[in-house]
Amino acid sequence: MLVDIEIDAREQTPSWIAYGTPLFAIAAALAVSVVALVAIGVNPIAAYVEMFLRPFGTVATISNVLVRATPLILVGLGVYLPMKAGLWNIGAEGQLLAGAIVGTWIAINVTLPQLLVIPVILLGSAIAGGLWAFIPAWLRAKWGISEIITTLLFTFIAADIQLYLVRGPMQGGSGGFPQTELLPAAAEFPAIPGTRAHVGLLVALLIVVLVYVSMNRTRFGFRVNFVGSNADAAEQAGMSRYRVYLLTLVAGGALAGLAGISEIAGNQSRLHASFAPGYGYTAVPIALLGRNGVFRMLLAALFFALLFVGGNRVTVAMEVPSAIIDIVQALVILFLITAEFFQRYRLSVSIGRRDDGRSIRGSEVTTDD
Amino acid sequence: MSRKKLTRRNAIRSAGVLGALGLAGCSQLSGGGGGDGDQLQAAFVYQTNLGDVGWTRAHENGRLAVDDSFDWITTEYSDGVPGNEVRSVFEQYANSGYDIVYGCTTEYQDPMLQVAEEYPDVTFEHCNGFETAENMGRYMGKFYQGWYLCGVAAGHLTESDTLGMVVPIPIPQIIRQINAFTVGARAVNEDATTKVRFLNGWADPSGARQAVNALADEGADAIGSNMVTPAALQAATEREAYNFGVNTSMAEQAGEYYATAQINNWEPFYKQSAKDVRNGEWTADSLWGGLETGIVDIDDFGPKVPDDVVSDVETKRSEIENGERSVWTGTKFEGWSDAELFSDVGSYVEGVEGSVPSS
Repeated sequence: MLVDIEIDAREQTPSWIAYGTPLFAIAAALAVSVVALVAIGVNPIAAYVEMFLRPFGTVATISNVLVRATPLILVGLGVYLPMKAGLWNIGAEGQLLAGAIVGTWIAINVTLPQLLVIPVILLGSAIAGGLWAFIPAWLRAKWGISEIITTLLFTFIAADIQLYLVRGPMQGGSGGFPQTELLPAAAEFPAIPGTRAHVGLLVALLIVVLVYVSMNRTRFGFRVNFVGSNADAAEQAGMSRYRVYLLTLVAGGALAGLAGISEIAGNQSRLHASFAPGYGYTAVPIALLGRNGVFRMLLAALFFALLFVGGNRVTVAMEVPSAIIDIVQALVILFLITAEFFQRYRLSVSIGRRDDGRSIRGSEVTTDD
Repeated sequence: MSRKKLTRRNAIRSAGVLGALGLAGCSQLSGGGGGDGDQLQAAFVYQTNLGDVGWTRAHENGRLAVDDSFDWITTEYSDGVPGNEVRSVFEQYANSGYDIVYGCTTEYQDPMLQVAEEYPDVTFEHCNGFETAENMGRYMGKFYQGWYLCGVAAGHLTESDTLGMVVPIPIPQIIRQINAFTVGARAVNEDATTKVRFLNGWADPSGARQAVNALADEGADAIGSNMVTPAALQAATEREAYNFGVNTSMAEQAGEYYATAQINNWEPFYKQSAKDVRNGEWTADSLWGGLETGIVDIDDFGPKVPDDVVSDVETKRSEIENGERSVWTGTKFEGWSDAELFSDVGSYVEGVEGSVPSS
């Protein structure tokens, strides 16, 4: 007996698949995770209620999700935008650090009224993040050097500079710990009244809308999408791949830089040696899940925030080691990314002899296409 | 591990609350940690995932000791909570009726201050910071004293008079320990010098291994590691260099050239603090306790360490405990206050090669 597996790209994704697969993937991942939870003697239903429902319990718990989501939305955009042009900004973490460093420096050293200083901080961080992405962007646009490698390597440079600064020139607070002074009150992002979420969230949502408009309603967005789907054809059509690559990657860096400062000025109040536990890397699956539209990316960022906040809730409420929660989170991400594949490709499996009519039909369809 | 914890906790509950009636089964049914009666609830929050050795394990050993010793306390922990996510974890514990929350890493300080203000009836304790509040104390050990004793042993054991130290980052806490290790060695061997390798991280097994090999290549035959991983010690044993670990015993992993380790023994502190809260005697202290408090300790010596070395270390230990000996006598830090020693140690004592990076 033979098993034939045919993989065809879908011309169009039916809407029930587009909306159904993520939900199905999450459900499947949670079903598999039951094994890990039961193995340590934890009631999986109770754990999932704690993880996915309780975070919506009060304004305070919803705030926690939004606070967590804010940098993820911004840095997610920082990966999403270059991805639309076919580039992989794997090193968003480095651009985030650059933004955090420069933003913190401005916040501590520039004294202005709050209404002025916050825009200056935001601008400074965006420029820093954009500059950090510029060299990899230029190398890619001009010489075709893989941005995957260069952005990643630039992350290590940024991390070492950050470590040097927080224990050297920017070190502050007593105890000699590797961290800066607390930000002055004027530089702290004000909270949205009644919540703990801060203006960084509003900035992030505004940028989501801006990105939506520019990707769908402007010539620039059309070019980015064209270059992203077929760069050679775009060149033939007279578009500048060079400009698109440079602009999207630098803009992505600027957004990642904003993520860095929004986490510090909105949440942590000072720059620590270990302030960003991998947001820049988390941004890659976020952008992947949301690759079909910026609002889906927004949803993905919110969902990741829920995963993190809910995961912490489980370790507090039940006797679950964080390693088990890591497994659950990883499985959810893995299943979601895998489900993406099925949205874009059709799989037809046929079991039987090779000359069976059915299995031939699959290949007939592809050749006819 | 978790199952063992459950069993033990149920056992405690049944022994302490319902044991005489033999209603352990009922207590299991009614379980769930509601703040019933005068049962004290304490939460421990850790930054890294709980492993077999290291900083977090040392705190966990303290928690387990408290849990085992008192039937009037219930403890719980959360591990792997980064500093930027810890605020919601503190809030959740405070909301669930916990009486004490221990934050076991430096980076928890600012969020803990904020949450402490929101929950004035909950007691907070922060490890290794510099801020306190009315309901938030801070605690840390003078671990450099343990490193001094390790240094005494290293000074005796070295034949090349070259010591090595593999350390994470150049901050006062670490510089103090490098200095104390060297001062201890030179107290018994005035020719001893220390070579230092920074790794820019707290757990970097392959980097630690490379650094140890580089130190051994340069002649170091007694090597201290301030890394959370036992890899450095294993590498040292492979090179037949005596080695010294940190935080918890690493005897099982380190191999035959294991000398000892500087141990963080939080048990006495956690017990006292829990008792104080229970008796209503708790105040927001700033504790920086040394050998005399029991918080600072060293591990049992490894098989290759001769008895006369052990007994000399024991002598010096009791001298420090009695106040007859000070680590910093005769060094540039002689006469420094605890506050200065805590914050401002930014350079090496005589006998450490090179200078502190970026100072």
